[in-house]
Amino acid sequence: MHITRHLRSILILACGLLVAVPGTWSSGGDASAANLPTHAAPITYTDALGRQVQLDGTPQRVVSLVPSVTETIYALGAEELLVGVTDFCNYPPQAQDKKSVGAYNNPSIEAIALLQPDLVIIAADMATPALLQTLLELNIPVYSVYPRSLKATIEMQRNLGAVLGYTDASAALAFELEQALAQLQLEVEQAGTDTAPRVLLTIMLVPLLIAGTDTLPGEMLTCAGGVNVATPGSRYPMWNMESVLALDPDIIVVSPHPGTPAPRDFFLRFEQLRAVQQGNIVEIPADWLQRPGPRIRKGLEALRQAIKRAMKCAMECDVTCGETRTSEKSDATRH
Amino acid sequence: MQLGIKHTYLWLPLCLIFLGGAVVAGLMYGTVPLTAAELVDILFHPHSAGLKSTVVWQLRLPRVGLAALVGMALAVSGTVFQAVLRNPLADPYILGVSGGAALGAVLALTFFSAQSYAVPSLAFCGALSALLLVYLVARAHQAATHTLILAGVMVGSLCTAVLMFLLLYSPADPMRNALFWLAGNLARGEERWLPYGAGVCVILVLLLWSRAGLLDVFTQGEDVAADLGVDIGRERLFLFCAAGLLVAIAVALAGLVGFVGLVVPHAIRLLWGAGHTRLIPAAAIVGAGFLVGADALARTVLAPAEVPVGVVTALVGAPFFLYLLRLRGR
Repeated sequence: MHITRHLRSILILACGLLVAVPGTWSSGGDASAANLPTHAAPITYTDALGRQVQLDGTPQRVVSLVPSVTETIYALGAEELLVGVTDFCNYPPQAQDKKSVGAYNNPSIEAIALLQPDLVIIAADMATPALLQTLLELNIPVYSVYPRSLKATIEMQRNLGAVLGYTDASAALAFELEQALAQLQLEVEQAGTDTAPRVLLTIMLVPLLIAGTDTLPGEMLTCAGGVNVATPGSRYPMWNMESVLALDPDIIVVSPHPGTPAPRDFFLRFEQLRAVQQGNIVEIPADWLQRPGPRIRKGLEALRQAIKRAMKCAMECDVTCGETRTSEKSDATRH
Repeated sequence: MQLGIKHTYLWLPLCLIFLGGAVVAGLMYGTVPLTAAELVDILFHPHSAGLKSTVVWQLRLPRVGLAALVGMALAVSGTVFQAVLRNPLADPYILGVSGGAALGAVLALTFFSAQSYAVPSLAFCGALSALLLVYLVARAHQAATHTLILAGVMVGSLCTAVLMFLLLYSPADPMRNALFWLAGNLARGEERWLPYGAGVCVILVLLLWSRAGLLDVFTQGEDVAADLGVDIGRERLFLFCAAGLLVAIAVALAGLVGFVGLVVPHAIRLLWGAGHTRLIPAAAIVGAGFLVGADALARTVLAPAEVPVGVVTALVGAPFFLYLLRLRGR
């Protein structure tokens, strides 16, 4: 009697399991069904962390934990693969309609798992080993990117194209950026380096955070033909107004934030600044300079325009006001 | 010979020389190099044009003033808290003031970031609210020492929890601003608020100084104070409110600057004894000088870049304090 009751319950449990297990599989079935034709052979990629990432064909459900990757995916026209983004993926605007899995440095693992992705793309500097490990334990393939320079950005565009099966689009995207850079290089070489304006790239005004030479905005500035006034060393050093007055840059680049809607005003009260006198406080959106996505071409263009304008200013000023300005500046402050 | 200056009247000139030296250093050093002669010339010709004059009058003077004010407020409130709570580890932020101020600042940065006055005013309100909460809890029990400390720590924890929750839901930029605000920063001072802050702070410091005898009694223990006919509960609440107000002003003007309020009072006690008639003015002057000097160092070491001032106060102050401790003991 007892035995049969136990047997019955075990049987019921077993049946339940049998029903439940295929059920869980079939709920993700539409994605894996779409995957089937490309199942031919697993392809292995090496990601930015040097890991070997093995993918069974082209991913169909991608979660991007990197705002610049989200932008790149849209630029490739691969947005239908994208099932999840972060709270910080604000461009293009329609990216905000995708499901968010939280902040990019601290996403919700459960939200990611719920989306049943077959690929999660993370930034190498933002991914904690624990996050990576957890995702791998959930059998979710993870591909990392680390675009900290222009070269790495171009490389990332190509790699994403390869991984997502959009090689043609990514080749075109990368080529456009390379073309733009080559064009800039040509222009800058023709203009010569002796008149290159000295530029201050601000990241934040209170406190005053500056982009150093060894940063993406710093590299973009060099490519656009400007000289960074920041001294080598720290990547994003904290400065004060005194340093800005002492080094008196020709151009000051500011970026409006929700926190500082009118960043230009911050500098206007210092009339002795050359950049203020010549109207060379330039507003460029932070994402054009700091986000290694497709919009860095706009950033490069904006920087180039600002530099050209400042050079024109300097030439006109040399004619009209001669050397009145240079005389009041001591040599020590120029270097 | 070694530091045998405890019972002389040398403490006042020594403190003033220290403050004066720090102010001169604060005005002379920075990214723009200045000689002493140039500094004197600039100070006597306030309206002259030129880079160096602008730097001294518009940038360094307000900053030195702010550092002096904040250093004074923190050192004096630290002295009072250590005496009233009879706890050598008490610092100005022990009663949850820091948490309240931080919460107010983050609220301001998240919701009213466009207005420059929002951050200091809300930080001040936050600090006062935290103080009020601690006060309301502590009042019920004659403001017993452990009630005050526990209430302060709990209010602080509550504020931190709400703060962390807010930071999770605030966009990237206010969060970044808030983190820098929490680290303490003397560059951001609102110049037009400085005179008011200074006025209130000086009045509070004088008020606290006038209670120096009372503070001496408190350090002897509550039973001694009660035997002497002191209304312990009421006096403690007064001292606590005045010192708390000082901290609230300092925090609203410069964020959370650490270390000054903890160590300066101890250093003075080691040098010149624990009598509050001397301790409070000495802590006020030395605290001001210490923060001015630390800020001058912070601006100069990596010029044109800057080191967070809290790093300098601890890096310079801790070894000096350890040396004093080794020399004198407690």
